[in-house]
Amino acid sequence: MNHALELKVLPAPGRADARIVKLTGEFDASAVERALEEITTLMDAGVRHLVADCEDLRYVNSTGLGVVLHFSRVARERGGSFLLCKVSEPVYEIIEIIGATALLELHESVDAALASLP
Amino acid sequence: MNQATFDLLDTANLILWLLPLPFLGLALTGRGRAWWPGWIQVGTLIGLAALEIASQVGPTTGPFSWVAARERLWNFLGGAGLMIAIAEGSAWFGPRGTSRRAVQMRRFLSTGFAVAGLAAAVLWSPARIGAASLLPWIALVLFEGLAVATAPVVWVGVLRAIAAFSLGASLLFPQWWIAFTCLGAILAATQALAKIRHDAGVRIARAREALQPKAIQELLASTTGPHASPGDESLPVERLEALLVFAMRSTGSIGGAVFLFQESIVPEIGTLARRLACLVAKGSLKDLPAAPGADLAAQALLSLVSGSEHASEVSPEGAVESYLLDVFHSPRLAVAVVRSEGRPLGMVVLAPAADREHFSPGDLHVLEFLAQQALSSLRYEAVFHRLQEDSRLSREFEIASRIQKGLLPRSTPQVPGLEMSARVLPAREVGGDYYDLLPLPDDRLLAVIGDVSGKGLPAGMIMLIVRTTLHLLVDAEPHASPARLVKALEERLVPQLDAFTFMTFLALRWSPRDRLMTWSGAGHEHILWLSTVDGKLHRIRTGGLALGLQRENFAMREERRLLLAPGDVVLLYTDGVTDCRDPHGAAWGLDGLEASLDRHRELAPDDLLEAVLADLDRFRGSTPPPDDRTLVVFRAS
Repeated sequence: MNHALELKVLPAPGRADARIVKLTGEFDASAVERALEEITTLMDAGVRHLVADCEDLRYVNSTGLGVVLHFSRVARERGGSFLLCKVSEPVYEIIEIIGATALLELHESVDAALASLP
Repeated sequence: MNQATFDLLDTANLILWLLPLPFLGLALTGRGRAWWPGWIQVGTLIGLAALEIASQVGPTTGPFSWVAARERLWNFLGGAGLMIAIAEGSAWFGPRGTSRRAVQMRRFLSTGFAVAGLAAAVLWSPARIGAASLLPWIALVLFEGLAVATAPVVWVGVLRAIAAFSLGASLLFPQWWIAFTCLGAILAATQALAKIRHDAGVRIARAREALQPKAIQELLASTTGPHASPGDESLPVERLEALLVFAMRSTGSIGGAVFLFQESIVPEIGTLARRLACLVAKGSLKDLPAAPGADLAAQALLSLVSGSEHASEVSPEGAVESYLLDVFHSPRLAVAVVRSEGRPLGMVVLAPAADREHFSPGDLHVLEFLAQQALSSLRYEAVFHRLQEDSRLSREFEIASRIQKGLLPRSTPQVPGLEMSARVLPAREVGGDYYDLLPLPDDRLLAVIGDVSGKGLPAGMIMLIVRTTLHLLVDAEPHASPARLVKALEERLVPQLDAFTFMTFLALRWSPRDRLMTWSGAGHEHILWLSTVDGKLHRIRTGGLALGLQRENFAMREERRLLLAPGDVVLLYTDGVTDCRDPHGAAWGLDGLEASLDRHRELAPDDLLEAVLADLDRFRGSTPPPDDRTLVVFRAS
C-alpha cells in the first residue's frame, strides 16, 4: 500500500493570489520536508492564500499537523491565510484532540473556503 | 566473340566505373562509413580472383570465350582497383568507429572470402593452371582476409590501393601478369603483417607500462589510501581521475567515464554519483552533460552488459548512440561493471582511439581489474567511514537511550488507594513520549503523560526539557494545581520549541483523601475510564490546546475532576498505541484499545498493561510501530 503524501498545486479560480493544494495520502514525518519545501516556495512566490483540499487526506500524525499549524501561523503573519477544507473524520479528530480547531480555519468545500477569502 | 558478349562486358564495365562515384561523394563530405572499405574490397577481390582464374582456365571458344580475352579485362579490373582506393579513402574522411553489426559483417565476409579462395584453389586442377599462378592468390586471399578482420590504420589503405592497382596493371602487360599478381599479393600480405605487428607492439608496450609494479603501487595508493578528512568530497573525484587516466593510458583510449550508482554508494560520494564523471582526451575530469542523456546512456550501457561478468565492448543504438558520439566521439565503448552481491556499484567505460576498431582482450582485462580495484576500494572506504560514524552515533544513541530510560520512574510510587503500572516503548532508541509519576506531599500523586510531535533524538531532547522543567516546578510548588503546572510548563517550554514542534500533555493529581483525580489537559489523547458504578467504559476528552500551538498570551488552563470508586480503572495512552497498523494498513484505533482494555478489565495494572500490549503486538504482526507507545494504567482500590 502506498502511504506517501501527494501534493498537487492547482490554480484558484478567480484568485491570482491564491492556490489550491490537493493533499492525497498520509501526512507524516516522511512527507514533512517536501511539504515544507513546496508550500514555502509557493508562499515566497507571493501566494497569500492557500486552500488545502483534504478530501483524500487519510491521516495526519502529530509531525504533519505541526507543519500544517506552522503554515497557518506563517500565512497569518504575512497577512494571508491557510485554509483547510473537506477534512475527513479521523483527521478532524486529531485536530480536535490537540485543541487546534480554533487555530485552523476549516471549511466544508473548496468553494466555501475561497468565498471566505477577503 | 559475338556482339552480345561484347555488350555484356561493356555494360558491366560502365557500372563498375560509375558505382564508386556516390561513395566518393559521401566520403569527401564526411558521411562515409568505416565499414565500406572492407566490404567493398572483399567483393572486388572476389571478382578479381574469379576473373583472373577464369582467364587462365576459361574456354577459348563458345559464348564465354570472352573471359580468355585478357586484353579486354584490364579495363574492368582497373575500375575495381579504383573502387578499392575510394573505399579506403572513405575511411579517412568518414566518422571513426563502426557499429558492432558492421564489424561482424566484415569478419563474416572476409572469412568466407578466405575459405572460398582456398576451396577454389583446391578444386581447380593444378594440371590445367600452373601452381605458381595460384599461390599468390591464395596468399592474397588469406592476408587480405586477415587485414580486413583487424583494425585498419591510415597507411594500410594506401598500400591496399597500390596492391589493387598493381593487380589491374598486370592486365596491361599480360606477359608479366604473374609478376604483378605476386607484387599485389606481397603488398597486401606485408601491410596486413605490418598492421598486425604494429598493433601487437602497441599492446605489448601498453601492457608493460600498465604492469609496472611502481605504477600499480601508485594507483593502489592513490585509490585506497586513507581519507584525509571524511568531509572532503573532492577526494573521490581525484581518485577517480587517477583511475581513469591510468586506464586510458593503459588501453590507449581517448575518453572514459566513471559511473557510480547512487543507491549503492554512501552519501558523501553520492553527490558525485548522482551525476557522472567523465574524462575525454587530455581534458580534466568533468561532469557528463546532464540527464536525461547521461542517465539514459548509463542505463543503456548497463543493460547491454547486464549478462556479462567481464568487461566487454558494446555499441548501443538510437538516441544513446548519438549521445555517446557527442560525448566520447565514439559509438562504441568498453564497459566494466563492478558488482557487489549482485548489485551494480558502478561502471567504468572507455572510448577507443579514433584509429582503433576494437579493444583487445588484454585491454578489457586491464579495464576490468582497474574498475574492480577502484570502485571496490572507494566502497570499502565509504563503508568503513559509515561504520565508524554509525558506531559513534550508535554509542551516543545508546547513551542517550540509557539517560532517557533512567529518567523514567524506576518503580511505581506507593500511594494509598491507587495501584499503577506504566510503560513507554520508543519507536527508536530515543523517543518523544513522556510519562512520570511524582509523589506529592499528603500522600498525593502527580501523574503526567505527554507526546512531543516527531520522534527520535529531537523529540527526546524536548522530552528532557519537559521533565527537568516539570520536576523543578513541582519541587518549587508542591501544592500547585495541575492547571497551574500545565500553564507554568507551557510558559517555560514554548519559547524553546521550533516552529513545527508541539507537545500534547496531560497532568493528573490523585488525592487519596477525597478519591479525586483532578486533571488539566493540553491537547492530549482521551482518558479511558472503566467505571465500576455503571460498568461502562468512558472516553473522556482531556481538552486544552497542545503546548506550542499558542506562542504567547498563555491563558489559564482548565481543570476537571473524576471521582474514582474502588475497582475503577483509568488508562492513559499516546497516539503511537492507537496509530499502530496491521499488515493490511488498518489502524488499531481507539476502538481496538478500548476493546482490549474491556477484555482485560479484571486484571491488576501490571498484568492489564502486559495483556493490552500483547493484543497490540498480535494486531500489528510484523508492521513496525509508527511512533513511540506509552501506556499508563491506574486501578483505584
